[in-house]
Amino acid sequence: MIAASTVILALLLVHLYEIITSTEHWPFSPYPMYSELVSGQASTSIALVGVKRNRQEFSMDAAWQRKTFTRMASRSSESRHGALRTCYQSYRADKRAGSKRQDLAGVRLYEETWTVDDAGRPKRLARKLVDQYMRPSSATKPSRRAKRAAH
Amino acid sequence: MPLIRRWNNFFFSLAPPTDLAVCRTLFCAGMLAHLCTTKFWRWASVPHVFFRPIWLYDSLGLSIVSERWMIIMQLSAIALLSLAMVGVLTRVALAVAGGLLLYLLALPSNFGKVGHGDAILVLTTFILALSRCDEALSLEHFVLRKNRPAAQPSGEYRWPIVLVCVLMSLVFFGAGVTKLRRSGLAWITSNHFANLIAQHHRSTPSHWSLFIAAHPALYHTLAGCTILGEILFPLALFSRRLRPTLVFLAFVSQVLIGLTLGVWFLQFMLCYIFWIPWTDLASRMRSRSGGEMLPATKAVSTTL
Repeated sequence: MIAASTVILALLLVHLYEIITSTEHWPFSPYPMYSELVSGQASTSIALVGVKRNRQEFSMDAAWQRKTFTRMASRSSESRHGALRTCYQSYRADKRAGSKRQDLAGVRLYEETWTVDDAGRPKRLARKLVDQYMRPSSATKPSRRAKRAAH
Repeated sequence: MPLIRRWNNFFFSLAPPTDLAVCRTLFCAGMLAHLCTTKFWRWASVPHVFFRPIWLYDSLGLSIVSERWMIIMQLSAIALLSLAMVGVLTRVALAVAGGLLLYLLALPSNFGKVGHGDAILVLTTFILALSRCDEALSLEHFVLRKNRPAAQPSGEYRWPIVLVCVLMSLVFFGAGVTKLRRSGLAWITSNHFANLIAQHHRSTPSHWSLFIAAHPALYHTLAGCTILGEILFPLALFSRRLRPTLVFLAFVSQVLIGLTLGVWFLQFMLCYIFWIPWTDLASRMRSRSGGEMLPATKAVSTTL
């Protein structure tokens, strides 16, 4: 009973410490999910998009990527650009390894401003290109399909 | 002295071994479902530039192992939890599985976004490993201790269940307090909730979320109820009358979060099984169907 009480007390105290000090030591936490205020008429966020060979864009959005690039958006353009290149290369490597993935020509990072209209629908107000990494050849070399269409 | 007596009454009053055993079996089954459907090895291919170790990985010097090792770890955790579920080498299996889960479940949190739904699962696995959860509904108990008398009600079967419930209460309470500390009442009174819904449904907003985001009175009320429910949730530990309502409302609110924001805390929801008085429930159902109540459940209050 004493051993069990010690375990109970330790878990309680560590949890309460995390809540009081608002620090995070996984698996203990103050559980801050959705606690940061996103108020006002418009909110901004970072969006990672993939660019297909035909220049069409598609969302590559995952929560961890959004958070990572939001942090990187304010950093030096060199490290951000490097991260985008790594992102692109790993995506291509996954595709080569057999994953069902789109044919990628590059990746872009946008800062988007959103609002909610009267019907409760999310509406994009503005979109600013923060950075991009395009495959060097894709900018000049047309795709096989584009060549065939031109022919 | 009264404080110690209260502490003992709260955590160590008599309980039959079946409740804890049912919780162990269901918890392991749920964890197996989670592990069998999650591809942890995908994190091995995420470029190292995105690796941002959390405190646990940093202080223990852990790194991202190769895909092969991740698969081995995941399969080992599945095998160990299967053993614990049926009750073979239960506590040892749970202890080792706990170590593997600590690595695997913390893994996604090392890439920028710290997850909070899985942490309680690791703690629960270790709590079960420390408890006498193998003294009922387990193969080893059935085979090895066949000739021994059945386990008698004890406080040893109660504290693990109560502790998981306390941890759940702290999760809700912590979430409510942190919202108020970081955003104040504006979390309720501003259009934060509508923006949150919009952020999660930019491409395909559901009818539910659109309806809520279009009605300020509705989302203010929901935001208010969320914080109130989170802060008041620990009352479920002390009030038998409020317990079913508070636990049910918390469960429903998590389902609503899933429907409106598309964020499902499925693993966390697994811990609700610890709130259900299984032996009590079974004997009530038995008495309703004409059978008699079990003697142990007559004498012992199995609920929290």
